[in-house]
Amino acid sequence: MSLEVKNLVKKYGEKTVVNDLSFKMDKPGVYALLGTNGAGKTTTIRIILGMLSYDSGQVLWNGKDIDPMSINLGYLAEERGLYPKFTLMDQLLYFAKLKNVPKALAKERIKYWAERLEVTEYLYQPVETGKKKALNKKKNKPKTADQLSKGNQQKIQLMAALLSDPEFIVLDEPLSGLDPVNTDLFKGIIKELIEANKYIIMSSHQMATIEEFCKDITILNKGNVVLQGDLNDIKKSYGRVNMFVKCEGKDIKPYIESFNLRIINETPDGYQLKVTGEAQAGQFLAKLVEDKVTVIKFELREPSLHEIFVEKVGDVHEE
Amino acid sequence: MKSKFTGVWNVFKFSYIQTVKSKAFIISTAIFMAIGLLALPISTAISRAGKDEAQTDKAEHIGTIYVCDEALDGKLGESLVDIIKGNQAYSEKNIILVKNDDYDKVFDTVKASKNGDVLVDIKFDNSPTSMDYGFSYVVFYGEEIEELEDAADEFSMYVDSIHKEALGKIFISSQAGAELVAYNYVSEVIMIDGVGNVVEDETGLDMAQYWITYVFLFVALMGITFLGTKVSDQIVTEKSSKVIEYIMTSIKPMALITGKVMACIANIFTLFGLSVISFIGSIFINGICFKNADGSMAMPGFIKTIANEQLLEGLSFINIVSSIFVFILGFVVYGLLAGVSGAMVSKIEEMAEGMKLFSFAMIIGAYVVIAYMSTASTGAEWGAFTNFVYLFPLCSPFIVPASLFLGKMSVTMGFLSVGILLVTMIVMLYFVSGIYEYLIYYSGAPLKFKELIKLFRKKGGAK
Repeated sequence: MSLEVKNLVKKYGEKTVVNDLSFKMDKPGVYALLGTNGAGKTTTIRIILGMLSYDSGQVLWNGKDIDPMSINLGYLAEERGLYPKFTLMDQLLYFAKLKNVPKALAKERIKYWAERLEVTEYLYQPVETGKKKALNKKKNKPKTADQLSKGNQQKIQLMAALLSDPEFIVLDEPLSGLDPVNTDLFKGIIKELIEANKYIIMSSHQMATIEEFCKDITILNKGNVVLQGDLNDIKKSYGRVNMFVKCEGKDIKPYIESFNLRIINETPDGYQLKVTGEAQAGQFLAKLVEDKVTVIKFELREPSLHEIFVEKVGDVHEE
Repeated sequence: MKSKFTGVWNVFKFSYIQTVKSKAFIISTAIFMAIGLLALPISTAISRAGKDEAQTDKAEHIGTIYVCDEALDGKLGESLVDIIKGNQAYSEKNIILVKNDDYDKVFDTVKASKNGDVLVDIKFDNSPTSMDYGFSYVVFYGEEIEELEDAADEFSMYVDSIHKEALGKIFISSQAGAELVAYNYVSEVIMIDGVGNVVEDETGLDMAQYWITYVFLFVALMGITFLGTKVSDQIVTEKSSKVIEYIMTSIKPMALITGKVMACIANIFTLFGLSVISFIGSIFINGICFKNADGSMAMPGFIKTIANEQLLEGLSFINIVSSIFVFILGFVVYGLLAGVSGAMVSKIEEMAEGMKLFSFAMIIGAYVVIAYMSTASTGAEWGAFTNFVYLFPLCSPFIVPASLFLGKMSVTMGFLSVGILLVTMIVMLYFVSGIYEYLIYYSGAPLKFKELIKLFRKKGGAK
């Protein structure tokens, strides 16, 4: 299986929102689409899903023009999208039916995912009888989407996306608005999907998460591709230019200034400095040792995805 | 590759079931069923109480009542006269039993009468092959007094209601009487103009036909209003809640709107079907609670007006089926329009704005038909207007079902009307399929009608 986007162009009037985008996914795993707000990530995703037309280019699945309705596709949209007044179970069964999942199987999967995502109480009413049932009737009424928090709605939507056991999954900002506990829950599920050899396209602003899962990335800025490729290769191409230093007993700022190093971050935990490469880092360390400065921590590594992203597209605020 | 309509059945089932489960639908259905169940007994009770009064008002316009019995050698006429004299509304009238030889003289008297005289001509034909087989009552009245038409109609309905009673008085518990009671009877009300010609209203609507047409109009109006509101509300809800994005990964927009329109039409038929069943139940309740002196079921006047055998003799299976077919076609056309209207906006708060197009079309259609019905009931000749009303696709769903039901439409006109409605439906489908895929994802200020047309011409934008 493979997904290939070739020279994709999308315009709204005179404005080009996706400009000559190409990438290929020919192995299972997560492919990341990154960019600032308005970069064209969601537009690209909608084109791939068949919701939007495009002006030129191709979107191919297994070498043929993609027909999203013929693929077993799962989609978690960026915005919350559930019927506000229908019961959650009815909606999930409906979505499963639209994906041609038999009812019995759908119920099994709903039960599994409800337990996995810890939303059982919203989907299933406790089995009570007699007086207790009558007393708790209102409390035990089936829940509707408008009664749920944003995070729980997101969980229900993730369930809807995965009910058909899709081969190709699109996750648009899957972790946005989640608390740390649920973030970990979602991450665990994404890892399982990767292990199950699913093809996943993910868009996100959370660079740390992307680094955890993604091998290949495309960074968009105002519709244009600014960086693309294997994440490890990209990082290696930058070299190990991030240096973390923590010293005791002496202020090392004069040393930093004398080496013309750029301070990226200064915290009680030390300095994060930009160096030109391993050679300069080595010289800096040698100088500290020579002057008998007590070095508590010294680390040299590649730039983070966040740093690469910021460098490529300018100052942004990470969510 | 899936077609444009793949998944329509799933959308239909979900939309239908969710509507049926909704509180609003359950309450509406309960109200309609209650009305259906109680309408007849309550109307009969009120009708019985107020009957003589209502008759008295109109009866004031009637002068002398002449009864000419050409059926049973005067016996039926005598019996009828006795019963009429016992009715409070007519007891003060001069009621004269006329011999057959005096018929022509009385006819001329009634023609020229400025006092509101009427003539009841009773005939009986026992030849099974005859067109006039059975009893016939014709009430003649002159054209001098305008109010006499309604009074004559009312009087004719009264005479219909006492026909069996009159026969029962002549033949109490006899075989001959039972046989005569079983015969059909027809009644007519005919105006005699100044030169003695009878004026038969071929094209206009008499009271019974008017009421039936009005009921059909009301049903169509209610149904289309419900349909429009439901379809557009569902579309806007899906757009504003963004659930549309998920659904569109599984089905195409045309499947969505088609499924929803079909589901709403099914909901309407469910509601009306249950109401009709209640009404049938009401007939049984009415029959148990209220009986006439002869043991037959008492009915309120308006039911007798509507359910007279003359009116329903043209009824056939094909009439009923074609009526329902035109209803469905009309609902589909308006349903698609409602779907487009709903998709022209992005938020629930903007729905009123979006529904302007639908409301405008519906108001034009319904009110033109109401105007037509008001003029048609007076017997006025409106040839071109009649044709327009039957053929214009916005109007035809409101009038054609009733006209087909009553047999008031010629076969040619019927085919033309249905044909135009079918073509309109196909054109609507084509128009909607050209722009709906853009509209369903559209998010912004409510679109105007001109922009829709531009969009259709361009067929650009979203897939």
